[in-house]
Order: sequence, then C-alpha cells, then structure tokens
Amino acid sequence: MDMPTNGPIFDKARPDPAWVDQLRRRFPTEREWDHVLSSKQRRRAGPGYTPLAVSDIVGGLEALLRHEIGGDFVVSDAKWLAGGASKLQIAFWLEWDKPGLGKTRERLVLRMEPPESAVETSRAREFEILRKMNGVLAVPDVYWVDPDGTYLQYPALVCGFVNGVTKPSGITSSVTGIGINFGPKFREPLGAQVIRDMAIMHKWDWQAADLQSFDLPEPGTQAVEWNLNHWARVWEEDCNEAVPFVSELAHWLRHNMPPIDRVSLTHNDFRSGNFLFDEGSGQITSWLDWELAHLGDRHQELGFFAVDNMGHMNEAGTELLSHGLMPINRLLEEYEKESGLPDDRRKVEYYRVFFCYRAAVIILGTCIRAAMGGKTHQDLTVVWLSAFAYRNLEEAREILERIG
Amino acid sequence: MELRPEFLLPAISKTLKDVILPALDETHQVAQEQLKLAIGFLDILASQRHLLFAFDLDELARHAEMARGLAGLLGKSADHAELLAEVGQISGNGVADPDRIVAITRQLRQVIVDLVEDGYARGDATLAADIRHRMNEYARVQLARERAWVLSMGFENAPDAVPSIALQLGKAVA
Repeated sequence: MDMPTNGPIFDKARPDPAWVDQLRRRFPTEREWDHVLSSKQRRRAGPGYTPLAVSDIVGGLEALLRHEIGGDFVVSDAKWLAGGASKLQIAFWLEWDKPGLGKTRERLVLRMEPPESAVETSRAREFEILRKMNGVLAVPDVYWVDPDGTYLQYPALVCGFVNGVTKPSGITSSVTGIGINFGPKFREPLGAQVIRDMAIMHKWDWQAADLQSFDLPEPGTQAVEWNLNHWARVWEEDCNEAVPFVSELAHWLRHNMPPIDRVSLTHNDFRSGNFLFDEGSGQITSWLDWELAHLGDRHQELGFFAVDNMGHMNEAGTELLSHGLMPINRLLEEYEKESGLPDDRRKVEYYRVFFCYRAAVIILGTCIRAAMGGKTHQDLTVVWLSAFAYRNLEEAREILERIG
Repeated sequence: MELRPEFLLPAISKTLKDVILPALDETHQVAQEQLKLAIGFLDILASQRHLLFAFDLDELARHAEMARGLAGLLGKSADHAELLAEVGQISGNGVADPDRIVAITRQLRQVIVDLVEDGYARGDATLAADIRHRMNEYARVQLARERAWVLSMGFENAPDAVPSIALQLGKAVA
C-alpha cells in the first residue's frame, strides 16, 4: 500500500482511474507522453511478464508482416538480442519482395515493450523520429510499427539491423553502458563525431518536418514544464516510498526553469551506450534509443554530458572524461564551434541537476515498481540499476549546495 | 531452528556459482547476466543482513528528527505528535517490531515531503532558505548511508572514499 501526498492510503499496483485523472490534470504534458503514461496505468493491475518463446513472438511478427507486406515473405533465424534494460529485442532474417529492390534477404530487429518498462515510451514516436532522422544522422532504417500491440504481444517496431558495438571488445563495463571506457584509440574520433552529430541534431529544421506525434511548444518555458511534469507524474505514479530529496529536486527544477532561446530536437538520452560504432574504422554506425526525443532545449543534451557520474577518469587519473569521451569544458567549447550555438553554463548546470533527478525517478521509481510487479523480462537488472540513483542524487545535492 | 538465512544465503549463492553458472549456455547473454545479478544480490544480503536492523533504526531516528524539526519550524508539531511519540517509545525502549520501524519511517518520509511542500507554499524567502538548508543537510547524511549500503554493487568511481555502512552505523571502527 502506498500513501499519496494528500489523500487516503491506496494501492498503486491497482490505480484508481480517478487518481490517474487527477495526476493528468496536475501534471499536463505532451499528448503522446500522456497517452503512454495513462496506458501504463491501465495495464498496471494486469499480469506480469510471462516468459515468451522466440516462436511466440515470431507468430505475432508474421501477423504484422502479413498486414504490412501483403505478399510472400519468410522469417528465419530469429534470436534474442542482448543489450538494453528496457525492451525485448529479437534479430531475424526477412526474405521479401522489397519495393524498388525486388527479392531481398536482410537482417532486421524487432523492438518490443515488456508489460512495463524501465522507461515507458511511445513506439509511434520512436518510429516517426527514426524515419525523419534517416539521411540526417546515422540511424537504423525503420520499417513497420505496431503502436498498440495489435499484432504482437505488446507495442513494437521493426527496424534494420546495424553492425557495430557500444563499447570496445574486451573492455568491461556496467550493465547499461554507464561509464563506458572507450580507451585512448577510440576516444578522440568518437568524441568528435558525437559533437558533430549533436550539433546537426540541434540545428535540424524540425519545423519543416511535420512531426505528428510531437507537440510543438511555445517559446519560453513551456517545453521545460512539459518535461518536468512528465517526470513528476512518473514519480507520483511509480514511487514505492517517498524520497524527500527527489521531491526537493523537483521543486528546485520547477522554480528555476530556464527559458529556451531556440527550440531544438533533443534526443534526450544522447550518451555513450546509445550509439554503435565500427571497431575497424572508428566511425559511428548508428544512434539508438530515440524513444525519449522531444522538442526542447539543446542544453538538455549538454547538461547530460556534464553529469560527472556518467564519466570516468583518464588513464593518468588527472581529468574526468565526460561520458568517457573528453573533459566537459572542452566538449562544450567544441560544441559551440561546431554548432555556432552558444552554451549557457548556468543552463548546463540546470540540466545536469535535471538528469540526476530524472535518473532517480526512473531507477528508484519506475524500475523498483516494475520489478515489484514482475513486469519486465529482466527484473533483476532494473533493480540492480536502482543503486545508481544515490550517486546521482548526491551529485545534484552538491550542485544545489553550491549554487543554491 | 537450524535453517537460518546466515548460512542458507551463502550456500545458495555457492551452488549457483559452482553448479548452475558453469552449466549455463555461454551464448545466452540474458541468462548469464540475470544469474550473475541473482548471485550478487544474494551475496549482498548475506554480508549485510546483520546490519539491516541498525540501518532501519538509524533511518527512523534521522527521519523523526527531520520531521520534528520541520514541524516545529512550521508550527505543525501537533499534527504529527502521535507518530513522533511512537518513535520516542521505540527509541526509549530499544525494542520494536522491525516491520513497524520500516512502516513508520515510510510515513515519516511522506510527512517530510508534505511539510516541505507546505513550507515552500507559504512564499516566505527566509523560511524557504531555511528549509532548503535543512533538506540539503538531511540528504547529505541519508545519501551517504544509501551509497554505502549499495557500495558493493559497483557504481562508485572511488569506492574507497565512501565510508563503510558498518562504520557509519557505529558497528565498526575506522
């Protein structure tokens, strides 16, 4: 049983629709995020994750393909794909009559949600932004989407398989890519490409792109508020026990919202571990996990790079490498040069606090809640991640102690 | 009663490491990872189980102190008198149901959140600054305890810089 801020004791594992409606009114956010979070609450009292055989998933996949392709096709060699704490992923080969190319055999990936995810997001939005980014940045080709789980067990999308690694072979790292050590060989070239791609993304003309699943914010703080409301709602819906300092951070963030000088597309999880690169050429082959993308402040990305906890010291032990790439001051200077856009260090600090807060919401709130309900395909992974919350909260505490 | 967790937890962990892990398909990465995490959790439970009650008592005392201070600051001591009196009884007697201790601490966490919200809503800058300072000091100690409790899970860049949970709880000497 849980206790909301002002109200009777109730059970968050079986949320009352009236309570969810009250949270929707209290924390207005983008329509697609609202849809996704409300759907999660409707599923919450439902069953946990039941192990699925690859063959079960392939059955749903074939139903989706029959609907989308119409003609003959063959699915073969379907296998679980490791990586990522939040989605079920299967790689498979598809033989089909590809429009414009004729008979084709290619390797594809199915990304499907478990009953509840570490981060609940929209497959429709991920599908749309992957389509729009094709030709702008290195991203997987995207083919089909089942946004509401009509054909598959849960919402899913099908995209191309991209070769590459998230970390150099033979280097150990923690479960989701936190603190990846790329080593001296890859660090410089990857750092330059990350900055280049971030600048391209932030300068991309989203207004010409007709984004259907994104709400377009007014200039000022509307996008910041939507974003804060999104995570405040997630915390209220998911947290198992009150964590006073998480609430303190939410309060600080709301009372210090910086106006946005230029609305940009932000990936919102642009970090080491979310791009693949080729170990032979050192080139980034794909940016992954676009599911949190939204229209907001470019400083959001820069603030994420400024989070100390996502970096590690260089070999000499003299400098902290932001996300394992380069010192943060150099990264910000290079970004300014590459993009021609100024970086405001106060806003960078603001979003540094935001990411520490968001990490706590996700891993102390949603991860624990999802595992308590047995809702994921790897409950222990999401629980293990919860331990990372405290370092993030301590980093935010130190910032607030310094800047007030 | 012989089947006690102090030896069962290490025994289960040892069996998983010695028998099950080597028999697992090396190419099944998800299964490998989940088993290693299961072993990791069992090892943490085995090594820190004897500190759990002290951890919970310490949390109870600190949260009660924080709630009492905030309630006094905001003139709301009477609202939480009963809950805080129960904490006083537990502290005085040194004996309590462990589940009750956790339940009261949960209530106190929410009381703190509500009091802080109330304080900020009053729009008094001096009061808000006082609350912010108290919250930061409270979080400093709370997060030090939490980080020490999960130290062995490998998320610290400089684990030697984090005082052990036994040391923080007064159950070990430096």
